[in-house]
Amino acid sequence: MIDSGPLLLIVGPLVGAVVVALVGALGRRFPHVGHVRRWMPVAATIAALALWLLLLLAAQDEWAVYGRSLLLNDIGRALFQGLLLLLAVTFGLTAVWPEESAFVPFSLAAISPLAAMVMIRPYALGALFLALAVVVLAMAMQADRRADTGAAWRYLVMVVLALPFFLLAGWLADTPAAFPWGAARVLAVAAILVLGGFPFVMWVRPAARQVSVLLRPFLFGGAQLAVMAFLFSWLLAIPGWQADPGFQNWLRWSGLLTVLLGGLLAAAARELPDVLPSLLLLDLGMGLLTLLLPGMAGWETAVSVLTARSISLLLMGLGWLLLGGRGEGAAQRPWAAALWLYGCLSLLGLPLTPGFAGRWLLLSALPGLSADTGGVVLTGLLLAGLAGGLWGLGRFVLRLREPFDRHEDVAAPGAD
Amino acid sequence: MTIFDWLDRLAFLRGETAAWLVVLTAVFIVVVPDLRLKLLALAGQYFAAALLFVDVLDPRLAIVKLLVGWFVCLILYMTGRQVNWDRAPEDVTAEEASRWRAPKQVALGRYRLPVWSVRAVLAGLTLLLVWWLSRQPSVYLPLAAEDVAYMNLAVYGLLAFGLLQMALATRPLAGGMGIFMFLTGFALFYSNLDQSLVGLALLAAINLAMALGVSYLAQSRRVLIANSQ
Repeated sequence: MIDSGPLLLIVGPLVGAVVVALVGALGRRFPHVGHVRRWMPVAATIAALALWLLLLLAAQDEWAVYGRSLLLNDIGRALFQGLLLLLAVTFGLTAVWPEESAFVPFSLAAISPLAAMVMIRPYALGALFLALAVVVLAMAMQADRRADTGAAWRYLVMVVLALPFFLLAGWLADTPAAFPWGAARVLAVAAILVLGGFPFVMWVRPAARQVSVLLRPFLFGGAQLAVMAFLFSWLLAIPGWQADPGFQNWLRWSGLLTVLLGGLLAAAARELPDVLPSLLLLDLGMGLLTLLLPGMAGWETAVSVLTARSISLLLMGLGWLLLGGRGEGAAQRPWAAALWLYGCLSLLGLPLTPGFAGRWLLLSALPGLSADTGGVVLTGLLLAGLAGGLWGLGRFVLRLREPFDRHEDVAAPGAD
Repeated sequence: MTIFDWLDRLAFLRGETAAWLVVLTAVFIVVVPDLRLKLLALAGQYFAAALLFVDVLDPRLAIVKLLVGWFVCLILYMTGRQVNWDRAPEDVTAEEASRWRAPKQVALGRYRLPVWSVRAVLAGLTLLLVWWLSRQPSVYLPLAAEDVAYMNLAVYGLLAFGLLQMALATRPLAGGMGIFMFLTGFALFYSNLDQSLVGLALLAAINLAMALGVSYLAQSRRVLIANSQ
């Protein structure tokens, strides 16, 4: 029992989160003790690393609970090792910037329902754990009491709306003749809702503007990758779903429109804080399109795109914090500004950045999906969206080079 | 007295009456602005919905659904008291108080209409749509037996009014009631399809988790506004 991977992933993060929250409470109780604000981030880093190590050593892959099995396959094991490492790095950074650490216990606790979502069989039940995870993530978004509640509220609503679609998809998989719609199409709607695809993008931009810069890599990268793992586990188990024309069309249109909207909003942005959420929106659209790629190739592309997103957001967050949380620091700390800019370029997927591999895999695979010119047109439109993002970013970067007394109206990079 | 005795006593409320009770409480929640009255209506709605659950589930499980629903109401009640039902604190100026107040008018072009009237019109239209849908055999819910056709009315009503409340509400507590109506509507429908204990337990867990999430957001909102003064 003690070396069970599923048990560890369900119970471990919850226990860790409680301990970390208690350490945080202790720190607040004794504010005069030296370095007290760093206790919680340090405890969280240790907890994340300990869980990572224990998961590495865990031998058992299956845990049966009340007749349902939780199965930790290779995909799940690699995924959660990666997520725990991401959290360890993020928590380590919050030890340097303790004012950004309020989300720490919540993000650690979110690992537990996310893991249950990926591991539980039958797959439809995973949606219920996804809803639990999003409740915890909504709390993480609001933990520092800085962001407006609107973004977290909308995220919560989107997942509540997606829940019936997931459960129906599971039911339709067993009784395909009951509804005129196919199960694959119902799953496509659910995927668009939870992954922030068009037209359900309303929570993405406010969240990307307002939540802590160190939460963004997990919220938009790690947690989304877990959702992708959940979706791909389902799609790999029932390969026919990806071939459904409705599934393909709906995801293709939603992904394309999300990318174009992101590119357009980035190009039309009047302030730098509007550019960053637009770039993220663009990348979310790309992530959605990975669901079109068949089998393991699709999953590997999704891993590549979403891992790069986490890294990009981490670099951007780090650069932004090194700038002192304000754009005026760009002139004094050009290396920090360069780090932030490199993160932005990586989010766009330009060559020589971590984001390029995933972008290349996706854009080179899409034309082969359809026999006619549709795939080529799709790729062309996606490139147009990327060009819009690059244009929007480029405009502000050129303005940042100017002395600050000449562009006081320019808002700070990554500013909330 | 057992659950079954209670159900015998409440026989006059079961079936179509319970379905209409569910829909009317949903209309009430959408139209009435006072959070305390909304919450009372939500508690009543859970009771009426439990009478409907009895038609598709084992009565002992239906009682669990009712208890979970009332527990959700309890969480919302405690949060409502903690955030003073979204009213402004007493020691704020008139200008600061305006940040706490929900808008009383809606601008439609050059016209300004009272919020309650817009809500009432939308609720009326939704009610008509739900009533019409529930009478169309072509959109009857799958696997719903002919003798529980009133279930269509309750399910469509809860889903539609839940969505409407989520769309119209500007604050987490009021919007949360939309979430719970939507979840109850879906649970009524889904109980017909899947009656496994794990599924039921997880749906109950989601209701409770959502109540915590909504409460957390309501508290956050209050702190945010207070800090911005």
